[in-house]
Amino acid sequence: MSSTALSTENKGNLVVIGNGMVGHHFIERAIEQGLHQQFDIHVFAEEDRPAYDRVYLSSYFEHKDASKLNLVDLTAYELSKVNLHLNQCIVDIDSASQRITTEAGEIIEYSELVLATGSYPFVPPIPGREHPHCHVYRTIADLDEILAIAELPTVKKGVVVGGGLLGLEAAKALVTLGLDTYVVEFAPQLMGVQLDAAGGEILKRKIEALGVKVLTGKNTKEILSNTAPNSDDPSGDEQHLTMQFTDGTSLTTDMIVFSAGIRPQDGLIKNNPECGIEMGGRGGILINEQCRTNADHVYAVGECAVWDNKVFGLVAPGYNMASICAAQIAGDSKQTFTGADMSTKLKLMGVDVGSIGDAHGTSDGSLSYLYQNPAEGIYKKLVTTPDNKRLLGAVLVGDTEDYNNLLQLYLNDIDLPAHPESLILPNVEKPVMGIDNLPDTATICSCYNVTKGAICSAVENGAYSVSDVKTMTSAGSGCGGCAPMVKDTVSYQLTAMGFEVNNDLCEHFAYSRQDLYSLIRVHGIKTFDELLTEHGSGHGCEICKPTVASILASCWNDYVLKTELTPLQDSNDYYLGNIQKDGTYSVVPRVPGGEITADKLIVLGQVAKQFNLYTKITGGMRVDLFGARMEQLPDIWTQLVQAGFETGHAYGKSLRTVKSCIGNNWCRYGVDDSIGLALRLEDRYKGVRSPHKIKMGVSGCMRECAEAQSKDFGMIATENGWNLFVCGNGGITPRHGELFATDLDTETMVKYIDRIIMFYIKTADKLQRTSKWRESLDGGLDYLKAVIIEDSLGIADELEAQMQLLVDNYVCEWAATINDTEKLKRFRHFVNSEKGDDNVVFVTDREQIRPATDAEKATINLVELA
Amino acid sequence: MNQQTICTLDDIIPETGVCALIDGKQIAIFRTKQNDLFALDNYDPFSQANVLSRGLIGGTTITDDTGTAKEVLYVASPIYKQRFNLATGQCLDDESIVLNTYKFKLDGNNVVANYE
Ligand code: SRM
Ligand SMILES: Cc1cc2nc3c(=O)[nH]c(=O)nc-3n(C[C@H](O)[C@H](O)[C@H](O)COP(=O)(O)OP(=O)(O)OC[C@H]3O[C@@H](n4cnc5c(N)ncnc54)[C@H](O)[C@@H]3O)c2cc1C
Ligand code: SF4
Ligand code: FES
Repeated sequence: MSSTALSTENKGNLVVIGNGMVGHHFIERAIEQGLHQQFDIHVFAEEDRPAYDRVYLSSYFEHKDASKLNLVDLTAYELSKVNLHLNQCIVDIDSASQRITTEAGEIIEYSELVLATGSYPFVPPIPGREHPHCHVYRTIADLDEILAIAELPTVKKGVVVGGGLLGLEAAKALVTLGLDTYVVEFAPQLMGVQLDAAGGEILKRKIEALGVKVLTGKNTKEILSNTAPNSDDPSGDEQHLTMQFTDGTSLTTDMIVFSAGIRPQDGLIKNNPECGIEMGGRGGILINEQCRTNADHVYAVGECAVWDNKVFGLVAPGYNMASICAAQIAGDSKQTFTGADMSTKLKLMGVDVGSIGDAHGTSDGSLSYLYQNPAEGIYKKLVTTPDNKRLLGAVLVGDTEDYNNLLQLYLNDIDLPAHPESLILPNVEKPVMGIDNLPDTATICSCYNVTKGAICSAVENGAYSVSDVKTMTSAGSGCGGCAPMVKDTVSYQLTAMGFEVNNDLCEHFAYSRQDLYSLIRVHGIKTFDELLTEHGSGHGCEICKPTVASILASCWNDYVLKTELTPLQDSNDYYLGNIQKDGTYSVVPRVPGGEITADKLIVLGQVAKQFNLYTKITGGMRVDLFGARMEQLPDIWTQLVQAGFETGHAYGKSLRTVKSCIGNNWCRYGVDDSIGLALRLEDRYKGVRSPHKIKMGVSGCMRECAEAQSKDFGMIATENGWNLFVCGNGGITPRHGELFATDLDTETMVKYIDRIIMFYIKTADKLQRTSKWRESLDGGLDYLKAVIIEDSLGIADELEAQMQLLVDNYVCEWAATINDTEKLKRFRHFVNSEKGDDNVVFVTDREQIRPATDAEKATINLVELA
Repeated sequence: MNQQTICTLDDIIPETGVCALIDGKQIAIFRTKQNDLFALDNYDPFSQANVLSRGLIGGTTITDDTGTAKEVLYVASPIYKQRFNLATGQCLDDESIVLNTYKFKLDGNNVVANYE
């Protein structure tokens, strides 16, 4: 690469150093400002991957999938001609000649330069810290190293040096990795920046109760190891480390993670004093309120920047700088950076912690109000002005319910009630800061700096749901802490506009099914508890549990009876059968397309006879066996599976049947092989969990013997291919399917069906059939065609890939269950007896069994228990 | 007071129930996330079937006569979905119906029934 090769025509280069969270945010804002049309954008990144979400870094230990943290849509970069140079560290800047130099020695000229180099973890200069079992916690590469060490069989114990916010997060990660975990803190308390001494103490006790040992007031003098750090076998055998503290005590461990604070990454400037860019007294790159450094055309944003003597170690202020910087370069000098609120609310190892403003009460003459409940581990403190009128700060440990309320009082300088302590006391009617009390300028989402006014106008412009508002304003798409307020603001504005809407799934989730679907996808959530902790409240119920189970299955298709998913399933999914009025179950094996061999028919008959089941041909062209006792289900299914049957999912919200006519193999009018298509479709979509059941029909000609037009998906053969009908319904409110596309070849049609089903799963409400869903789509059938056929949202590939994942992960739930002795245990009526339920009684009617009525139970001869 | 070991804690998946046969009576025993144990009649008076141990456990916030709100745990019948307070047996959807509750406790890993 030479300096001329990079710039084309008259455009100069806009160069960004660093592709971290803020550097990436800058690119997005720059594109929004149209800077990619004025400049050639070049981004140089030291790391070997595009920007990722450091805030959720710790989740990597759970999913170990770096792509889940990715922030960059490379196609979007490409479309805007953003050149991303990975693995290319910049080593020199010359602000006089406006050039930078890469590690490889290439020189690039710039018209505008943005420094977004972030920060690096501070490791105290303790002798022995270079040992290969000493790590830091900032990048995915760091985490990979920690993982590799923690997985060594000899490594059982881990120490985190640093008891601040990030240190405790690292400690949680070590716990997750199964290590005996210690936190060693130099200061006398945990989280000294955000909490006061008493709050730190409560936090310490709560964390200790979780099994993490906390040592405060410990200064590490030296780290000794029983093997030399650079021996031949640096990571192989046992390597105990001994930490010597200045008070004479010591601690042995197998690994150490340093998390003792961050320092702005200013090496580039520090190592090149002649570069002409000024640094702060304690490091960092000095910027003014326009995010400009002292050098012309050079800006700095994010954690490498120092403004008013402060470095901001949170992502929200960095994003704010990035937007301002992009605006400045685009010529809008009105937007300026005026500092940031560093209040935080988070959950550390399950302990709620909140800190607002002056947590330590150091402002002149300030007053502090305290509430302490040692039994429950709750500590709350308010700091007010001397006249009691305004909130200056707060500390909350163990219970952060009041956080949003207090934060708004603080940020908006709102008058406090007469007795400020009422704001933190339990069992007291709290003067809640309703959205209506807030000024339009009140910040609701601080990550993206979105105000109440901005959210309200988004709602006025048609964003009627939290997820729409999120898309339109970004509010809530950062740390997520503002989600309840965003929700309230949306409802407030909707009410103001005369709507009455409440799309909350239930009292435990202030989200619609669609919102939950996105949350689960985006954050890679795999369990109900994780979702409840992060985005819900309370215990969960019979509405949210099965809905979430269904979404989890739609996203990841894990076996429905996996232990952590089991308690979410409705009785039907739990016992893999439909429960009947007397507590027995029905058995419905899949008969794809209604095609069945004589041998299989005989097996059905034999099984029905052996277990004395009621037998009926269903409206879905298969055989239903009724009256199976729970404890008989495994035996029945073992025989069926052996004979080649699979579960028919009659119990699941998923594909039921693909009804088919006989088609051109036999029928004199048939123009195509309807059964062949039905078999293929039934095989492809079986088991896919969706908001409601899905039915399909295939007819071999326009006579339509399969009634395909009354199904969610209907296919009718033509001379030139297939006509596809969608969103039909029988049932409670019949609806004819609508003609979606004509004369399709089979491959294209399968693609369309893949896309429609995934789009339905993504956007439908709970228990909404495709017919009702289609009626609720703004823009109707044309919109659906645009999304599916023309790919107007650019999601077609994604939808197909998501469907393919579900197809690839299919297992017959019954085949899996009968081979799992643990799972079989639950198929008995009593936990402490092999007996059956004596209240299940059948009588014989029309030569088959049926449940006895109460009167019959009392008088008639009982049929022998099967 | 008599005691009888019914099963082990591991026999009950967290957040689900099992049914036990004790002196000829069907009793549904539930284990919560926090490993608390609750026990009710297994008989669902609405469907007249012995099915409550197969219901879903849920929580809801209820305000009592003194005006304090607290979350109560319940089981929803798998047949017609009526909810029963796990601690008291009170049906949350029909004031007139109250199920019997039973005392169980955890002794080590054993689920033990206490009875007079
Ligand atoms: C067995 C069967 C009746 C029969 O003996 O023929 C049946 C039985 C049940 N149907 Fe059905 N439906 C059956 C075909 C149908 C059909 C006809 C069809 O598929 O061609 C329809 C109308 C077509 C449609 O769905 O568009 C049908 C519309 C319903 C509905 C109303 C759905 C709607 O959108 O309005 C329900 C209720 C619901 O799902 O909420 C329902 C619900 C039920 C449930 C699951 C009720 C329940 O929760 O206990 C029944 C239990 C089945 C069991 O225990 O195995 N069943 N049901 C049929 C099973 C087909 C199969 O092989 O899987
Ligand atoms: C575990 C963890 C949890 C966190 N949790 C939260 C949280 O809950 N809330 C919150 O607000 N913040 C949190 N943060 C902080 C947040 O991640 C940072 O504020 C944010 O990443 C800063 O973005 P940045 O772009 O300034 O720096 P970074 O994201 O660090 O990006 C800087 C990039 O520049 C690259 N670079 C540096 N020098 C050069 C060079 N010379 N040439 C080329 N490239 C270079 C680096 O390799 C890096 O990729 C957390 C951080 C960590 C580590
Ligand atoms: S739909 Fe056409 S091909 Fe199929 S059975 Fe009827 S007439 Fe024959
Ligand atoms: S405050 Fe972080 S997402 Fe809104």
